[in-house]
Amino acid sequence: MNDTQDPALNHDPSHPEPDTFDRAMQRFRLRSGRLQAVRRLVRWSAWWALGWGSVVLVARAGFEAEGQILWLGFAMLPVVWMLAAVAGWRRRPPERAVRALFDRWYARGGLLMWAGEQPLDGAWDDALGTPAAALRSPSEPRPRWRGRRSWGLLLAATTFLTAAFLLPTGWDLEADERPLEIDQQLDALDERIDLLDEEGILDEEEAEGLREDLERVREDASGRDPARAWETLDHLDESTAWAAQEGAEEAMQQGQQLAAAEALAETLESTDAAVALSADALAELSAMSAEAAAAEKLLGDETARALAELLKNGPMNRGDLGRLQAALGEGRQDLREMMERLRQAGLIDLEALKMGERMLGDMNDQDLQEYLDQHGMTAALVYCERPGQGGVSRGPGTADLTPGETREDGVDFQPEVLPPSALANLDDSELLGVMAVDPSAQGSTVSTQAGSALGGAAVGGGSAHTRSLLPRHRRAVRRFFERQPTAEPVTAEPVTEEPVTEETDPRGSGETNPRGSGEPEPEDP
Amino acid sequence: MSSSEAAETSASETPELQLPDPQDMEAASALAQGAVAELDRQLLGRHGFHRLVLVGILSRGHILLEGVPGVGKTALIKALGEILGLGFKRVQFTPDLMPGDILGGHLLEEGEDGRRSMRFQEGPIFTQILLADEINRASPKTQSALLEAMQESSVTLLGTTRQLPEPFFVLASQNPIELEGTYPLPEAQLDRFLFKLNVEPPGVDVLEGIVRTRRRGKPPKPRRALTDADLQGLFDLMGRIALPRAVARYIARLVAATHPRPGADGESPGSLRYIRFGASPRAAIALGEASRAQALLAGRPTVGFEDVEAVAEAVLRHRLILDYQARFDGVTVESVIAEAMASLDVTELGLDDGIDVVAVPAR
Repeated sequence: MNDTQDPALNHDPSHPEPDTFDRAMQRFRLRSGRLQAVRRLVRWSAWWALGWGSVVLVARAGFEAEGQILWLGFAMLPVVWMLAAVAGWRRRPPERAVRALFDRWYARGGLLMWAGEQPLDGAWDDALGTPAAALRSPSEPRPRWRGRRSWGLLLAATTFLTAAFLLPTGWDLEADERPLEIDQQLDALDERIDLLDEEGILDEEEAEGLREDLERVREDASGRDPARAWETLDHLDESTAWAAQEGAEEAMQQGQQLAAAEALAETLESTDAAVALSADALAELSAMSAEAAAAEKLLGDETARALAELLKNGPMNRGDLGRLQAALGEGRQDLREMMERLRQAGLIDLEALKMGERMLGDMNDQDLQEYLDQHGMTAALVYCERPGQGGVSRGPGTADLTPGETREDGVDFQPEVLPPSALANLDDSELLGVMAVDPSAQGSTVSTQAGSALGGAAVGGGSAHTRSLLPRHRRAVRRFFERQPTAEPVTAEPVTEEPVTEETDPRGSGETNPRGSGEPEPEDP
Repeated sequence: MSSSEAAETSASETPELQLPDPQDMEAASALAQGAVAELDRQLLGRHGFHRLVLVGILSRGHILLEGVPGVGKTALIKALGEILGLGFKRVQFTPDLMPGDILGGHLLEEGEDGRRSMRFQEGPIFTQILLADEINRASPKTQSALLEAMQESSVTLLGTTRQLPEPFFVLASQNPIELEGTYPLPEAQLDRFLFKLNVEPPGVDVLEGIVRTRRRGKPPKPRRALTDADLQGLFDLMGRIALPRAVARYIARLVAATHPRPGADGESPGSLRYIRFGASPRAAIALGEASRAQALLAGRPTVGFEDVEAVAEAVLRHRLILDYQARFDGVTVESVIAEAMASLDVTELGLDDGIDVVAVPAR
């Protein structure tokens, strides 16, 4: 219903019929319903614009949607408006509430509300009067909408929807095609592959394969699938690091062989010229050197060539030992330098480098002997263990003293196990019996310490078991020993408890030691 | 039809009510206003207070007066009895007062024929206006003796129920100070008082008038403003004052607002969270009755929202139990009632956010 159809809203102040409460209240309800509808229409339109704008944005950016399908949303707009209008209109205040508002507004004291429930009789109907008559001040209630926020929301939503339509399609896909900035990583990997190739750690084919992979990554890496490019780079990085690690381990193993061969060559060279070197020892040295030089790809060209020259004529002689020693030393140096280059390229860490330094270092006597022993090089081992030669290095000999093989002035020194102490001999004693007797100050020359570890200690000679009798106690002790017995003594002869020991000659001769001490009998040389 | 549907149907129906004639209303209002004016003549400067007292009387409710000594509580009640022409008795409540001292008891008597019989001797409660002075000084046992009398207007002793004179009012006073040795009224008894009115000390101007016109504090001799018939007529008219459904709903929502439900954050809104126990349905009934009396005094045959607002504080003041936190925070029950009233949309217009009602020039 609009204003032109509603008589309540078409009230003309100049009309002879005065405005009544009923008309005023109906007018209020109409205005309220209309405002509620408009408010809902604006807000629902704003929500629709935000929602459809989001759909358009996703459709254009994600699916490159274009055309009429995007304009279908506008077909929903009349439906939204209709629903909003209906919902707003249904939310208009009920008549009872409007009546209560007018009753309160015009201070009718409940009469207007009651008139809505039961018809007033004539007198009270007259008392109710008209709004104009009831008003103390010439004003009437009217709903007002402060719609600034709702209109602002609608404006923002409309702007968003427009922007969603204006944004270019697929703008983000173009951005995805841009190549990744991974040149630095690719160059570093390229350098590593070159290094591994130069050092002979990678075969030519392996290095070429890695380079091809690297080039493929350089061409294909783009923002569309960056994870794939990064994963490939990680794989190449791991492959080079793994190859370098294997190369380093091989170098360390080879370096250890070189060090052993060098140490053996030095030992053999330092052997007294008067002592003839056995052909077997030289053959073992040749075999060891050949084995150490087998992985020639890790050695420098000159070193490999020198070693090959030395070894090509079979087992070497004493004159070749110096040159062999020098060639082996250069080989070790080559390996050290290679590992240092690997570390500088970041292919092995510092810890691996230190381990390599240890394994490529000089080999000491003991390690060489263990090495030779493990590898069954007994002929060479003989020269390393020769006593008096100072071992495999300079200095005095480290041979053990072997008295059994030493003879001086025709006298043999036999090792002899010392007999156990007297105290320990009590373990071999046998208890024959125990008797109780009064102690006697005299008549017994057997010390209670007989057979003990302190058996030889003199009384008062500083023995820990000796007790000094204080002067003030002497009388009491004397009275104790001089007292008269009240009965016949059980034994006429005091017997001291003395364990009888039978000592056995630790040498197994079966002779009894009459002194009962642990002191061994002197033996003539 | 279920019980809830039946309740809704009966609630939606408005009972047929014939509004009193405007002339009758005007006469009744004049009578009531005359009684208030006579009370105003007795005790100076307390028009609003006297109006509420008369509202309480017209509502046939009991009134609890609280105030410091010497503010005229007893004088008011005595004057009210004389103005309304009602029987008046006073009981000074003390700790050793027993129920029999109020209700009465049975006496053994010997008749002229020599036969002995029990005779009931009425207590001071058998009157129309009972002044229970300093009611909180009596023990709970004695206080409870008033329960049946206040609710049923009857007294039951030894199985015999005796009706009290009509109308029957208990106007009790209590002292908010000197609380040592007192017994606070139980909630059940407090709920039976229609109003709790605070008697505030008068202002300077009023005190000046008292000093100037009252020798030895004696008020002028009260004039009887209402006859028994007038009073009965007022009571009858009260039954014809209409309570519109919107106002009744407002009363119901106001009482319900004193039972706040925690919001989403677990807290009740504003100072309503201090309420430990809200008002009872008897409070809603009291609000309706008192609003009717307020409308009668205003000469209107219907109750408006303003009538409810005028009596709400006096009705709810003693029915809301606040927690200890309210005492710590200095929150008064009056402020809680004011917030409960402010939290309500009186007319339930239900307009959307952003739409309000403004005044525009009338046509």
